[in-house]
Amino acid sequence: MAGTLPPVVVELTANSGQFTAAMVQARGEVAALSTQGTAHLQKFSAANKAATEEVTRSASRLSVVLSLVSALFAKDSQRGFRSELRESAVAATESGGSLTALGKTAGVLGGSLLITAAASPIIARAFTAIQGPAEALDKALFGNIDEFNKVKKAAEDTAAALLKTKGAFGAAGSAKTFTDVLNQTDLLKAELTNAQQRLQNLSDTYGHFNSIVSDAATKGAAVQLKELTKAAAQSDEEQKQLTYDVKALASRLGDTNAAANDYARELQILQSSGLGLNQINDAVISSLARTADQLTSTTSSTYGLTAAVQGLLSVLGQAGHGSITAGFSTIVGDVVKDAGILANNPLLTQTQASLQKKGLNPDQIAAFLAQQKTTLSAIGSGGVGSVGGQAGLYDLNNILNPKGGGGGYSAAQAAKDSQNDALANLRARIQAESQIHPTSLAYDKQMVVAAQDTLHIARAAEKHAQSVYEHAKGEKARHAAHQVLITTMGLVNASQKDVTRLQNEGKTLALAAKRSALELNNARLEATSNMLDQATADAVHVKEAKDALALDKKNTLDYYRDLKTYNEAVATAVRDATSAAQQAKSDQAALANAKIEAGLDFSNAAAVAQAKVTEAQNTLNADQGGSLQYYQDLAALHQAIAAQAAALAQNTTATVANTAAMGGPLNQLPSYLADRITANAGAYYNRTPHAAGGGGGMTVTVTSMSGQDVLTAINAELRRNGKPPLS
Amino acid sequence: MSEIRSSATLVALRDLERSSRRATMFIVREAGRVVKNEAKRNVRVYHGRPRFDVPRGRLRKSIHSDKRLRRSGEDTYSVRVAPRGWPVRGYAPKIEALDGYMEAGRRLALEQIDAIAEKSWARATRRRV
Repeated sequence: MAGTLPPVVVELTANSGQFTAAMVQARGEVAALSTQGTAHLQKFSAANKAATEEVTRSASRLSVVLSLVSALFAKDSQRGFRSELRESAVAATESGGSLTALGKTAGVLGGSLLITAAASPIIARAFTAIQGPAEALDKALFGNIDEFNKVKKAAEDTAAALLKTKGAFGAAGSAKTFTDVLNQTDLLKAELTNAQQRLQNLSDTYGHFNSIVSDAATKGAAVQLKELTKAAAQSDEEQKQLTYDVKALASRLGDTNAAANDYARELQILQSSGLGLNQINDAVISSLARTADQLTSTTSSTYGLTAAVQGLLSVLGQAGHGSITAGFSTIVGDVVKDAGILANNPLLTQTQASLQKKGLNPDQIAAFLAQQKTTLSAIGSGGVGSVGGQAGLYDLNNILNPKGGGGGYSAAQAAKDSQNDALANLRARIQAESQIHPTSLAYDKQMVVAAQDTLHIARAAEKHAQSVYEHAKGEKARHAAHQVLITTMGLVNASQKDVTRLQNEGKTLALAAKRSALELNNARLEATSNMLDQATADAVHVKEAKDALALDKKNTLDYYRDLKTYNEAVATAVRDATSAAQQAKSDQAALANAKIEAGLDFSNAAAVAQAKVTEAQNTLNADQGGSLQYYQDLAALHQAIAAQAAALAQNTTATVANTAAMGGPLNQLPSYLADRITANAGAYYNRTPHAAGGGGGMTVTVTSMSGQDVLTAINAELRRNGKPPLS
Repeated sequence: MSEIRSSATLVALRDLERSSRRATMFIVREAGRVVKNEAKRNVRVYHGRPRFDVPRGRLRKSIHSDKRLRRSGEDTYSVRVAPRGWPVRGYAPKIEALDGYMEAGRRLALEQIDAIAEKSWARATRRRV
């Protein structure tokens, strides 16, 4: 029964391994394309910028589509997607569209992905799903779009200049058209190829001859000498045949040379007609590079290419286009060096594949390439059968007909030496041309050096300006300090005047206070004196009552009567003495109040002045020594000190006057009255401060600074900070 | 100088590869939720006389999916959805034979798998700041 029950466990499984494998493959392809393609691209771009653009664009397109493929197959792990994709692939296959590179990738993934109308909705949905990464891919892959545009524009400019050049040739009415020159050049190239092949065979024969001679010298075999003689005779025959061929070629080169001279004249005409040298330069450089490429691919002969290049250089040099020669020499040097790389460059295959992606069929591609080749060769062929080419053949003739007339070994060595000399000559001429006519890179370097010099000059000027600024700043500070000094001296003088004025006013106030105090004391002391007189009378009464009591017999009626009188007299005396002491203290307080009311207490003003001096000192300590703020605060400190001196002087004057005014009358009290008050009042009496201080008052030191003192202080500060003193 | 700049491309491809793994996990987890919810919606609940030994809605409450995804291999993720607990083992298959509640959940998940996949892809490849 249990076996018939259905399962209740649902397991959901998803796998993204295929997507991961696709991503790994895509990364590998992109990395390989980047590492290998960049090096080839840099070399290739010098010879054919248009091809560079196409290859790079193909690489970018390949990466984008690879990403799309990867994204599409990411959904392959989902249910229903694979079948949909296969259906689309089948439909695409039937429609005939094909992407070679993508087909390979798709085949690995188990399907054939073709971007057709049937598959486009799927791509659109997948692209929506991977919108984020797709944007990143777009930005990354088309990061070279600016560079592409530049290259494209350069190619367009080159094509335009090429057309202009061709048009100028047509307008100049050249005796020989480009087609004729091209045909002659093709024939010449074929002959050169044959001659080169024969030279190679001859070199091989001489090499064999040399090895046999070595063996013969070593082994002493006479039989081998016969073979050597036979081989030498055969070489002589071939040499004669080659000499004949070279002479025939030289005669044909004479005609081509005339065409090349026409070409040079036309170039001069173009130059004199005002056509931009840069345009001619770009056109000729591009066409010559393509021609060199063509020569390389057809002849695969470095020597032939060298001779052709040498001829072109000669033509261009005679035409007066030194810059053209220099630019061409740079490019051709790379082309010669990388001829083998260019011949087997896989990017050429990719370029052709990219053209196929554009929808062009093989016939269209072949027609396009043939058209480009014909157009470019027509321009470049003008230099190939020229004086330089003749010179190259002349060198070849020397190789084939050595002056020394030695055996096969010496002729082969002479051929190699002559070839090396020709290459050395070419390098020397290219180097000389490059030095005379610097390339744009050298010009850029000069500009960089000039810019660096300008930068150094600017930095030196900036440094000088900084020093001038520092000097001016120091002068400004000195000027400001001088102004502060003048202001300070004015303030000090004003303060001194104020001190004098306040001292005079203090004296006046002191005199007024003295008079007021005297008048007050006169009234107060009169009342106090009366009270003291009463106290004195009380004391007399006490003494009399005490004497009377002493005369009485104790415990008698008189004794108690006199005792009562004595006690009453003592009480009266104490009461009156207490009243007198209280009156004296009241007098003291009243005198102090009168002093304050008269404005004679300057201790508060002195404390305020002291606080200001302290604050100014703290502010000065917070400043940086030698700064403008420092000198300003220093002047403020001296001003505060002067104000404090004035306040202290006022206080001193007032105190002295007050002491003289108040101490005098108090000191004039009869000493016996004081003794009596002390004896009678006891603890009720306190001595006044003035009396306790012996009439001293405050003791202060009057501080005053003149303008010269302020100047001396400022100069001391300047010297301490390493600054020149003020005069 | 001409060059093929591929560093950003490689980074993007690597990021896309990581996103694919996250998307795979999202798809499996979301599909498991769909199965669970649909199964709970279709399972019957006992409405008879109350019984102390059979709590009402125990089978429906016992349907769960795995809290953690199972990973087998480098890029394979799976999740299981089923009634959990020994009390329901005895009658869960019998009710499945009667109602097909788990089969309903599985069927709905398969119907919605494309939408789930697309939504999960969008979520996994959303640009992270």
